[in-house]
Amino acid sequence: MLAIECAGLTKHFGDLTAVDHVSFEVEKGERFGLLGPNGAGKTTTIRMLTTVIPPDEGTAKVLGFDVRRKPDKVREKIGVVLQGLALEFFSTVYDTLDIYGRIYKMNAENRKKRIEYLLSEFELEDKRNERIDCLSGGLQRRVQVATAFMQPPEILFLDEPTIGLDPQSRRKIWQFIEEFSKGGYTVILSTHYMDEADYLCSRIGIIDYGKISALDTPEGLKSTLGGGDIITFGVEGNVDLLRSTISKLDYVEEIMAGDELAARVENADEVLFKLSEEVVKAGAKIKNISVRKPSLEDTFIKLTGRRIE
Amino acid sequence: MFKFGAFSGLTALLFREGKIWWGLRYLVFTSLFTPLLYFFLLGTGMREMMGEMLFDGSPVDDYILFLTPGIIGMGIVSIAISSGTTSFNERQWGTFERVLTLPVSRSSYVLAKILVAMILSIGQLLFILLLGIPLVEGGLYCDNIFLVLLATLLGVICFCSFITLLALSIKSSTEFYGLTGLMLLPIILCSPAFYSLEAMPFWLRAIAYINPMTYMVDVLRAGFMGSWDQQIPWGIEVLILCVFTILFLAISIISLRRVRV
Repeated sequence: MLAIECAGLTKHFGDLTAVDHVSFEVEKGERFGLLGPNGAGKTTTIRMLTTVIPPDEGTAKVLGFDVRRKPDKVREKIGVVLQGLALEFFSTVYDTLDIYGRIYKMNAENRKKRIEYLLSEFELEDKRNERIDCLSGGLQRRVQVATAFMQPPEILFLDEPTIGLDPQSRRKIWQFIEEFSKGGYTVILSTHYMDEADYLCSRIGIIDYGKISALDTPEGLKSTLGGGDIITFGVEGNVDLLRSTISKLDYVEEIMAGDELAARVENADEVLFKLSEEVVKAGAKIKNISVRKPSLEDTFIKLTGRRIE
Repeated sequence: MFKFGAFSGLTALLFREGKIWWGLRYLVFTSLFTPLLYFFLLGTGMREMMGEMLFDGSPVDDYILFLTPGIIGMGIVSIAISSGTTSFNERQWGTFERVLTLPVSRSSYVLAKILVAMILSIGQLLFILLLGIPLVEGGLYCDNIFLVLLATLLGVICFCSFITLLALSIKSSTEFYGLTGLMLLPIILCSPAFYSLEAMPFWLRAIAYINPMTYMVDVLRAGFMGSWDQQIPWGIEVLILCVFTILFLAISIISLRRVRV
């Protein structure tokens, strides 16, 4: 069964088309990611799917319910972690979770059990009576994510859930999302972190300027580059001229877009020495060389022509 | 399963609102205490100087008696502004957007704010009545408590809706705080809160007649003093207050449905 069905989803803000005829489907139990830079249309897409704003064109169904016609049914089944902290800053951690339990009509006993479970899972037990505004950013984010789990949602929407977090809090949230999805629940994640999308998502939609330019598994997206290795040179010299020179070499499959001098070759072991000689011959001074496999970021740059800052 | 209705999730949102106000208890204290200070200091300070005031042509010999409904009205406006400030903060912090993703209705969100403001306004009314005991011989007399409660109820809905409307329309915090700060004095001073309508120059009286505060204070005053032969009968003033209330409430609910987060 499908968890999400979007067809031609569009949203305008004045002259700006924030989301431009976006279509995709997500199976139940999938971990689906929307990857793109700031302003790409990720948050607007999530806001439409979570019934915060209505689409101007197109349709979107969440678990079979149309977001425009049955927003109440959609809200019963989803959990949302917004990009902003969106917390009751003057309440304590315990009270904040308690408020969400009451909103989901949990009885006192279940509420108490669930709060204790979440406090323990998110390592917030010793912070239970502290006011949210007295916690660090990482702990505040953990509380925010915990609120979305007060009643386990059938679909969890996470809009940039780890933005600005320390590695420990980030890892903790990743771990919880992974555990959660093992229960067969669906996760829709928006992020501009390549490693996050790569690690957490079973499928990724690359979104830029309000349009989805590619949609596949992380491996599938990486393979669109054609495999091989990427050799990157740190050089002193005219990079544009060097690019033009080495692009003519028959063993260079592709020159990578971006500020650095980087080329994709079939096998770096076989051509690294030859290619370095060509770079030196073209008048550049090599400061460093690195070899790596194509990443999601390379795919992103190839598809959008720019890097996510 | 949840049952969605116009007021679904109201009890949970009331609990949430209570927690928000508890967290902002110093702001609540200021909202409640400032009008009490006015009542006590301005009332006792001006009492001797003001002499006899007119209320609908009838003399009121004690300024404190005249002032009481004005102070209650002022308290209601202060509480409404504080309530609107919580809505504005929620928009700024993203909690408002979060509420929109929850299984609760948008009407419940507004109603929870109004109900808590109402509880606080009634609490303030009781405080003023208690404070009146040492100030007025025999305590403050209330001729028709139902009329006082009706004016309080309509006044809270009217001003909370109006300030919520501002909180939903304005994006910049400096604009919101600047505007609400700027509005408080004209709302109070262009009304019969501190002095009678009869004493106002024509232009000020004309402004007072388009200010809902005027009708709220007049109905409160009629409730306290039992004036049944007003120039504008209190029944008509209740109706005018109802029109303002329904208008602001309807616009704020419509804005809530259309608000961009």
